[in-house]
Amino acid sequence: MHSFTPQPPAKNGNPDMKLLVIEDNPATGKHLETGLTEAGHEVVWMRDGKHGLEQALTRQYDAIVLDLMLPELSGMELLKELRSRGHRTPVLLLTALGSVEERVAGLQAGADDYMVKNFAFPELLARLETITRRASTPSLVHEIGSIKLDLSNRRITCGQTELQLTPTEFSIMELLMRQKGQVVTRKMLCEHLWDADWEGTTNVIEVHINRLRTKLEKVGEAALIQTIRGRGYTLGAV
Amino acid sequence: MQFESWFRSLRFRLSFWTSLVLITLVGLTLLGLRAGMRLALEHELDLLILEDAREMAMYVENFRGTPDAITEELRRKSLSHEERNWFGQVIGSKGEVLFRTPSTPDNFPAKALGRQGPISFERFRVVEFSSDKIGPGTVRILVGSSVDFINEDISLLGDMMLVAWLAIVVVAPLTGYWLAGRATRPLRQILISADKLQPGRMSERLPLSGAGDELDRLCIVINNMLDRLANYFERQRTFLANAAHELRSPLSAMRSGVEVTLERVRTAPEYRGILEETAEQCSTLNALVNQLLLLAETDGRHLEASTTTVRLDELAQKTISMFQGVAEQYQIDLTADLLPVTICGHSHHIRPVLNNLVDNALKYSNPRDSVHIKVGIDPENPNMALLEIRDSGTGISPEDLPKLFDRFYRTDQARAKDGRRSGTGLGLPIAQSIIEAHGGTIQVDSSLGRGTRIEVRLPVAPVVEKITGKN
Repeated sequence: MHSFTPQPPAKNGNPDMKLLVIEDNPATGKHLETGLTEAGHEVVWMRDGKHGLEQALTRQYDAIVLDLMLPELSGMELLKELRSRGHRTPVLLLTALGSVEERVAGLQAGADDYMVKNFAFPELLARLETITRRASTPSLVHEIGSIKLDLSNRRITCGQTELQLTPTEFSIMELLMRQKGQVVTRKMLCEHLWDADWEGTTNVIEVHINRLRTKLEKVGEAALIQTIRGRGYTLGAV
Repeated sequence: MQFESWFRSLRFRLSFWTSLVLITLVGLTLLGLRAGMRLALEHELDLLILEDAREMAMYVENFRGTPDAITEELRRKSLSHEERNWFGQVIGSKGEVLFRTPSTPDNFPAKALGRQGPISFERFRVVEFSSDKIGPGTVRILVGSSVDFINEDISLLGDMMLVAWLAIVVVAPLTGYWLAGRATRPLRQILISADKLQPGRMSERLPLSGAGDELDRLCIVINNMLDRLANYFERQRTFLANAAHELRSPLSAMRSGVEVTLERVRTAPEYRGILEETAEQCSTLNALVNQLLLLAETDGRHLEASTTTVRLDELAQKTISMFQGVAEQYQIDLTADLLPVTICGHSHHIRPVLNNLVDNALKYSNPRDSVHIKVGIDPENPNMALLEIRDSGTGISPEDLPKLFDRFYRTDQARAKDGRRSGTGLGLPIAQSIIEAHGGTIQVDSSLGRGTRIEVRLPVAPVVEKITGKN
């Protein structure tokens, strides 16, 4: 049993989203429910396609997390039914099938995004925020401590001093600041920077993070970027 | 069901059709023979009665003064040829009947035929012979003979032929079925042998009869296919065993970590530590599973017909940007020379190829080495895109070179778990699988201590497809 005392919602992002999770695997479903509730969202978890569709049609949700392989009614059928009835609720598909064809089929059926199972939880949170479009008007200025990042002129300053960052370092800071208070995985960074994930043993992110840290150290913010072992990076304390 | 399958059997159909053709041909031949026989006999009869008519003409010539002698001669002839119903008639120059045998059919017209050739009258053949040597004007001698004996002969012959034909109708299918059975016996042997073949017993092969015929060739073809299948199954089995083995290492690390932690109550930081460690192992497992899935998705498939196209140079640019930091970290000079070229495929498939190859080149280079990437059209074949990755690194030993694309094969350096050259042993096999699925080739050229050059060739996207493939 998970804790019923929800933790305070995360500082950033879209707290208080109403989310419908349709997932038949008990373990995955429970973790999604716990994780999303702890991130400050209201979660309804349905264990099969039929009841999931009823819920989706009767209540207004901000987003639906939909597993593809479901008993009674498959995720794909549910999605098509939902869309044919004119419901535009953003849908994030979860699936164990990850080939190019399956991704295309999912998106063509009207899904807003697609995640292959065995994903990192922070990635799910980030994607949910993206598809709910509440985050679609991102502010151009992000601040943490004395660090200020301005997207309009792509400058980053610490107090009065401007940090000289490479485009890659700037993009890393941009994503970290946009997701501040949350973990940003290596995969999210790779996809943000170079449009593709890299899971090889060569750590293509670390070198840039190290350089960023060196540059931040000079302005007295050495501890700003934290490594979360096994998960990724975050700004400040989690 | 049994009957129906017998009906469809090669043996039945083979004997059925050959017998049918044989019976029909023999039947037609016999019918033709009978008709020919009748014609021949009639022709012979025509000659005979024409001879008689000539004889009669000479007789009438010699004895024109003694009509009684002529009448007597006609009577004698009709009597001696009675069994043929022989008759004769002599027509004078004015068309009057001079002589007529009593055997002449009553309804036979008492006049000349008006034509030379033999004609058929009822069941008679009749000829006319004209002579102008007998008296004033032309005298016509008509001689007729019954064709009954021909009909009898032909009918007898027909009966004999029918018996022979009926014998063939009975014998041909039986012999045909027997011969077809003999001819298809090796085929049945193949069926029985092939039925015993099991994926689990891939060593079994079809026996050859040694006759060197088509069936032997079929067996050889099937056996060769079985060799390839056995080879493939063996590779898959080894691959599965290796994959399971590779998955077990991080799993076992996770399990021992979790179990040891659960042995006693620990502090929160300790729990956190083991969870973080487990998360790391999960990432390793996940990366491995993703590689296996990518391999499963591309292995033996044909993706070159894909309607999506990508710019190889743009993908290469992104890969270079991804590894630029690492190259700088190890003081390796990473340079590129990229010309625009579009290929059929999806970045989801092509990027891992580029990433793996560039990663390898950097891994096996030392400080102050260089890695150069070239993208363009193959100068030797304008239909192929050429990706060349050349490094001045450590190179590959001749022993490792042929095994480079074996799944899970690792060089000694790659086997070290924590070194920067460690790997899963799947990078190059995946690259090869993806490239081949796109109708391309990959070539490795390396000399130890001097570096490695990898050439990848992929079909260029047709221009038409680029325009229409935008749906």
